[in-house]
Amino acid sequence: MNTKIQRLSGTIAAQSSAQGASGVAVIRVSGSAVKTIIKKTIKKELGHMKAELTAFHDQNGNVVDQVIALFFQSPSSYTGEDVLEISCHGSIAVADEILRSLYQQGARPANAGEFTRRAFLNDKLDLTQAEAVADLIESTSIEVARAAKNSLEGAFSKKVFSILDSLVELRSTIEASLDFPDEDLEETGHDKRLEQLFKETRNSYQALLEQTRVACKIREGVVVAITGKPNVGKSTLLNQLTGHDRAIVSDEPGTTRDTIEVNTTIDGYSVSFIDTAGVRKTDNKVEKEGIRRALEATESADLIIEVKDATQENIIDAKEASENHLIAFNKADLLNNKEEIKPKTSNVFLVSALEGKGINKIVKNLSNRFKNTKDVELTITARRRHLTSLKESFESFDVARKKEKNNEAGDIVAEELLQAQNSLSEITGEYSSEELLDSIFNKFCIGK
Amino acid sequence: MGKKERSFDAIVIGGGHAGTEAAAVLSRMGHKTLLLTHNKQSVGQMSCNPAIGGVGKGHLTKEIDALGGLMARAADLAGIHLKTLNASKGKAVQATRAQADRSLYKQAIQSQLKEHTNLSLAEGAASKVLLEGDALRGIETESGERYYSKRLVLTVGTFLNGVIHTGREQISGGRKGDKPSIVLAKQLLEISPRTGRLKTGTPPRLLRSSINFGLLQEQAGDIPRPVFSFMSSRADHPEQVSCYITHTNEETHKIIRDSLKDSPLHTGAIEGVGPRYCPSIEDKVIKFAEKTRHQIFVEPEGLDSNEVYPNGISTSIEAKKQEEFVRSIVGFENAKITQSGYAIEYDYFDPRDLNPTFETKTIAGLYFAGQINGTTGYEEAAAQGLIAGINAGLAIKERSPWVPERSEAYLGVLSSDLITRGTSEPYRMFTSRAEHRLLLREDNADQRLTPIGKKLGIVSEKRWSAFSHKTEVFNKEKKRLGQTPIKFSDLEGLNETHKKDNNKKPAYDFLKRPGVTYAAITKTVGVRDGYSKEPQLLRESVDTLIETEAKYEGYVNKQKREIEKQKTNSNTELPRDIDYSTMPGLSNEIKQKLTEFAPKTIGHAARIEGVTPASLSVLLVHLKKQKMKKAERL
Repeated sequence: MNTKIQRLSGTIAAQSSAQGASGVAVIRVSGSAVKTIIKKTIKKELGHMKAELTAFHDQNGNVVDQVIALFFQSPSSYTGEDVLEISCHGSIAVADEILRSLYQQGARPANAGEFTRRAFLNDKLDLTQAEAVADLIESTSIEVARAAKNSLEGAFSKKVFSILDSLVELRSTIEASLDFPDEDLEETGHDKRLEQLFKETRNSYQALLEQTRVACKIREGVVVAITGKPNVGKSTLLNQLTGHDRAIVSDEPGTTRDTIEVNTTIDGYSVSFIDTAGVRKTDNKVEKEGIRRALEATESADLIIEVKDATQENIIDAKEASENHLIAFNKADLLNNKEEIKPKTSNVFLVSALEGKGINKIVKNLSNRFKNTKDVELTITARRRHLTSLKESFESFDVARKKEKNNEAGDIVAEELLQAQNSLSEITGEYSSEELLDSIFNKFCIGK
Repeated sequence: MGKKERSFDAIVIGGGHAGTEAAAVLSRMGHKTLLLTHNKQSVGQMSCNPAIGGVGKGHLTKEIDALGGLMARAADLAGIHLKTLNASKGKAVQATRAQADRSLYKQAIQSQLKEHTNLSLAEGAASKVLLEGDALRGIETESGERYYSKRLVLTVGTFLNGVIHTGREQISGGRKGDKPSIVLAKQLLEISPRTGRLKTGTPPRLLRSSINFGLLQEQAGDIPRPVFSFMSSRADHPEQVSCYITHTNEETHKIIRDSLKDSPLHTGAIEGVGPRYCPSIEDKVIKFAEKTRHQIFVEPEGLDSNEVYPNGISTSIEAKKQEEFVRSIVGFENAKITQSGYAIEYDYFDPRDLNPTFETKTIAGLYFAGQINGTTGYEEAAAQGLIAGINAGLAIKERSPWVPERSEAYLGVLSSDLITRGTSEPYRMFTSRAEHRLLLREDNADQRLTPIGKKLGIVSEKRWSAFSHKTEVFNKEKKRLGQTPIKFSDLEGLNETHKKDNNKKPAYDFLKRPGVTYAAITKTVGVRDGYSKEPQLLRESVDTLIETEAKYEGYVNKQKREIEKQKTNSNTELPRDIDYSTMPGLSNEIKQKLTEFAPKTIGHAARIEGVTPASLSVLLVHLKKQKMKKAERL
């Protein structure tokens, strides 16, 4: 299947009202599967353009929310396709749950500008509008690419690519045996190696899916990790930033033994602060686990605020600070010569968490990031898409694994693995049959 | 001989596998066709290894057959050792292969050509394409003879800048004995300036009587024998012989390593890119140094031939060293080399400069097919000859072209790969190239393509009626199984977990499950009417088709739905004069790629590496915008 073309078609769904908490959230679905989706989620017939107050069900039949559902019969809709508009209660959790159900029932997350693009291609816009759309698509294709890249940075991407490597190895081994049956490849110890590889890959998938599911929950906004050496005042800073006494503050190093997550809103946008356990050498099991989680949270955070002790370290040396790595020099209250050591860049702050001084500047820095809200939304959408792809990929992979175990025909196993890889291509980029052949020829001495 | 005929509907240059298929199909379409070859005796010659088919290649051969082509039938008439490969790995990758008697094969091609009434053969080496401006007029030969036509299919193989290497020795020339034509080459370079350089090699041929077969591992053909052509029976097969297997060893590898300093691969004399799936023994020894042995298939050259073809040791080291390493191999201790191995380098024309019909983009009516387009293999060549021939024929009739889809046939995979992506090594078919592999099986090649062949007017009445009969038997049987409810407990020899589910269901549904065979089903529901009277091959092919269609139904339906969904976008055409360089929203890299590849449709563009879904979206929007602007102006 040409996955690139596939990504231009299908039934799409996305929140069309602004992201973040609001009174009402509107979710739009467009495409040929809309009627099936209505049957499964609304569980009743909807007339063309007749708004209806009704229950929305998830895939298990549980009611998610009372919504107003509005159906537009093709071609009399915004996109020219069958369209369903769902107005639900405006909490992030509800809108998110509805979207999740829609993705389960055959829709996929829409790309930025995709509804408008469809409207345009289906003759629903005039030329003037069309010019605007073209501009929009041009600019968003760049933004979408940037957002996708943002979402891919760090640990997630590494893990996905390691799964991709395993898939390629599985595929090239199996495909080599299908396309080159005459070669004596048996010396590679085919079957045992395959079995082992299937097992390992399955574990990697499951671990990553579990992690991503957790990450996605807190990832409906920006994730800020607060890091730093023990006892520099990370928890105190967190309390200042969120206004709650969520973290236990004490002057004993190693007090915060678990990663603490606090959700708050800044300018209406969700921000999750993660207070990481001070990273240090320790024999305490609980603390060790806390440190491990801290490192993981740091890897997946959008932004890091590193806390340093202003009495111990020199502000001038803070060269590692960057737009996504802020450094807060804490304990300014203990300094005598405050005036002399003013931070030189906008990414370095001098604060006193204890006295609450200098905190405003950090909040301001964060809120500035939301001025370009589109970026945030795009990143969130990109993440959702990635999780959907990963799930689909795992499903095909697991079918392949079971079929291989039952000794079913190699061509079917290979087909499922191809699907698994195609699903990942949303995240990893395309992988052509030519690249697969490269991998086969590098691994096996083919050629009688 | 009377006055020579000079004017033809179409002229095909070259009597290899591409040329013969092209000429034959043109004549089947009722066009007066000339096949111009430098030597009538060598028409249909197998110039490399004596085998037809294999995984991917067998699929192509069956597809050519389903469209009434020559190759499969010739492989049956010449097949002296037949096998079904991948018998246990699933029907989609199952493939037929025949070792062929070279002289019987050639005879079978030539005698099939003789049955084509509109086809003339002439000897002569093409030296110049006759053009008036850009309009094609015909061809001139080296002896100055002229033949006129508005359609020309060029299948001239490796003639362009061919160089043969053995050790430090170099001979200029195409295949052994062929003279290169410098004028024609120069002219073609003007028509299609983008070229690339490729390399291929052959093993030394060995004297059959000098081999100690007792020391080799014998490999017999399959029983029952598979049959290639829909129109053949097992009785068409000649006497059957065995193949043999032996291996190189550490001593062999040492001799080869020691001779590398004089090997053209290492002196830098060879620049062309060789096929990775068919490396020379030198390459294997270097690249896979940890392997202590490499397999050699000892293939018979023919029933009466005194040579064998040791497949797996293609080489271009110096002749003396070839003999030395050959004699270090078990069974070859006293082997005599009848013809040394050599490497051949040649230029090919970048197939991206062709339309999907294999017509050149610059000269209307001029088609390129076969090895000249950068492919390797008889089957790949024949496939292109057939497609080029069909389209030349359609163009004469002023009918719209036929371009097979990737989801329709390996013919479509081959042509779309070549035309949209080009190639950097000799292109060979692999089933992993097909994204719809489960649809493109040998067992349904006739179902996929014979009806199309009928519409194109290229399959005989005899084939059509045989095909229609088979289809009728198949449909009737499928219907019967769909209407006969049975229970699992009715079936014998199944494991217990299956039996837990004991509701009555149509027999056809049971056939979908893994492990349930058609034979097991008919044991319960009885055989179809007239089963005992059906000819053996018909019976086998219907039985297979029923079982496979049932087993793959889920996948096939899913793929078909997806293909249908994509059709609108895939088939959107990109105008030839489109200017990517000024199109906003595309990265420079993508602009460059689109300009270089000049895709015909969005589907083609999608197949280009590096072209992203976002850029396809930009393209679609741009096209629509253009269309709207045009509409507004009118």
